[in-house]
Amino acid sequence: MNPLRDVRAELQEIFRQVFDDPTIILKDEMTAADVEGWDSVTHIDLLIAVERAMGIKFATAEMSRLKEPDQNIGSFIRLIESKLQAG
Amino acid sequence: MAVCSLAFLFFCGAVVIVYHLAPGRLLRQVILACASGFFLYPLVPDLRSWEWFAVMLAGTYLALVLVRARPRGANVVIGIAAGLAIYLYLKRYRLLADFIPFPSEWDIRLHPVEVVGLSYMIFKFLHMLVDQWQGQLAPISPWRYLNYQLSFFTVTAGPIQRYNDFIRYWEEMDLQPSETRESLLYWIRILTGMIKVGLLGAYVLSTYNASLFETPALGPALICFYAYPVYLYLNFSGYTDIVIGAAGLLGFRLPENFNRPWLSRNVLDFWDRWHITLTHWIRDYVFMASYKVAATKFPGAARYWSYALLFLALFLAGVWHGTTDGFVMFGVLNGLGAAATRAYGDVLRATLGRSRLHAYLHNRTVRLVAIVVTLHYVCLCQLFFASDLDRALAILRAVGESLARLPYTISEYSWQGPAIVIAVAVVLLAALWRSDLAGSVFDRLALRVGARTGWLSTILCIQCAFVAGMFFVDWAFAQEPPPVLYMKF
Repeated sequence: MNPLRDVRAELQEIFRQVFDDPTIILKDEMTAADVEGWDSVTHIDLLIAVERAMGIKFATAEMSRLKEPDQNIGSFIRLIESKLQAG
Repeated sequence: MAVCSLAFLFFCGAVVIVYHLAPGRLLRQVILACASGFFLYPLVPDLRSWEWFAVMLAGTYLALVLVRARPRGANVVIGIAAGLAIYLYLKRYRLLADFIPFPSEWDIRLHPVEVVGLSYMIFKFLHMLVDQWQGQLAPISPWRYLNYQLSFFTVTAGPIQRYNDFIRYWEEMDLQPSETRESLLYWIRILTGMIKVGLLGAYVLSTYNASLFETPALGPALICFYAYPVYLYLNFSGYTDIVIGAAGLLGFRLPENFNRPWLSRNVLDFWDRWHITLTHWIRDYVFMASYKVAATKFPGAARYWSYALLFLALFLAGVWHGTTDGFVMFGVLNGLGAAATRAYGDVLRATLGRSRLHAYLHNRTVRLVAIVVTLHYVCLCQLFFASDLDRALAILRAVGESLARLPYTISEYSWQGPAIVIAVAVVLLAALWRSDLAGSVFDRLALRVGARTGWLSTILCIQCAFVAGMFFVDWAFAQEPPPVLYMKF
């Protein structure tokens, strides 16, 4: 993984495109409930956009886990970073 | 063993005492395994059923081992196909008999095999198979797998706990027992469940059954329309309370299956609050998996695929309950409701814009109307769940005809009947109008009561008196404890 890569900024841009909302600012503690329109369908749209932009793949259990109430943007970013590091 | 019974209460008490006296993880695991076996034994009727049970468990475990050794898509497909074929056969899906010439002793309509909790075993197996293939599954062994599939608190009717979550608690079984306050909360949860199933649910069911054969009139037809969903909720959420409480006493946290479903504002929201573990299983392993493929291959038509696949997912959730015409209709209506909800949301997003959509979604009147409409749509769907197509249509016809001649219909009753109905409706609507406030007051009250051991002990004593009275009446009138409906699925 490129150490200068700013995953948060990239993810924020993807969020703005998928949810068609240029005002979204990602914070670690944000959850799906904080983003209007983040349902099961947009969740997949979001993950497909992340997979394409960052060249990674999410397993079914990971996609599911990200929808759990105890997960937030912080855990999403950590998952992406771990996948980028794994190559 | 019936979950809502005195025997189960004593069984729970005995297991909890022995479990907490036992030192070390391995001994506790053995105690839980023995308890599961003791619980399961009376639920399997004969040797042939035990043989199928063993074949199912051994076969599914071997499939997991095969996929672990050779994680190829083809092996997963074969495993899924084999699991589903055995499921359809043992569940006597009659449609199969029309296409496959079974020898008479294997006839799908006649075989006597009863594998309790078969659907839930298959759900657990399929998710493990996919997760194993994708490298997401915690390590498996026959001992772990057997206990995961057969643990007495999920074997009969869920909740569908994921393997990795089960293993996390399974490996922590040597931890200290929970504190007194927590134990009291779990016992209260068990007794709340028993009161829901054995007292409230049984009463609502008897009211429903008494009205079922008088349906040409408006009153009984409306009772049928509203009472069955209430019964189903009390029965299934009561069962869930009992098993979540029992598991909690042994240090296992099971996933919740219900979250105030009657406050749902659309069909998708309803299924996110009702039988949550089933909905999430279908969301993850049917909808997400298929929509991801469709949206990747056909990005321009992704929206239309989402409608079709939402319909399919909810339709499958419906027909999973059974293949009679009532269940098929139940699945079709839920599928249509889900697809329509999604399409309506897309139209709102396209026409209102972000700020007006936000205002629309947070408007109290809109929310109230949405909740009332969803409630009635769900009752309509569950009418087909409760009875066959003809009877459900007869009830709907009775309601429709009576409503068409409304002023005369009302005059057929004495004034008390409609007055009570209107008063209840007004109170419910007022509570819904301020549901946020009512919910927060309730939550704060529950938090304060839950923090004090003395109050919890008092509640537990009152509940014990209720449950003792309930079982005494059952014993005095030689009644069977009320069955948990979802055990038959």
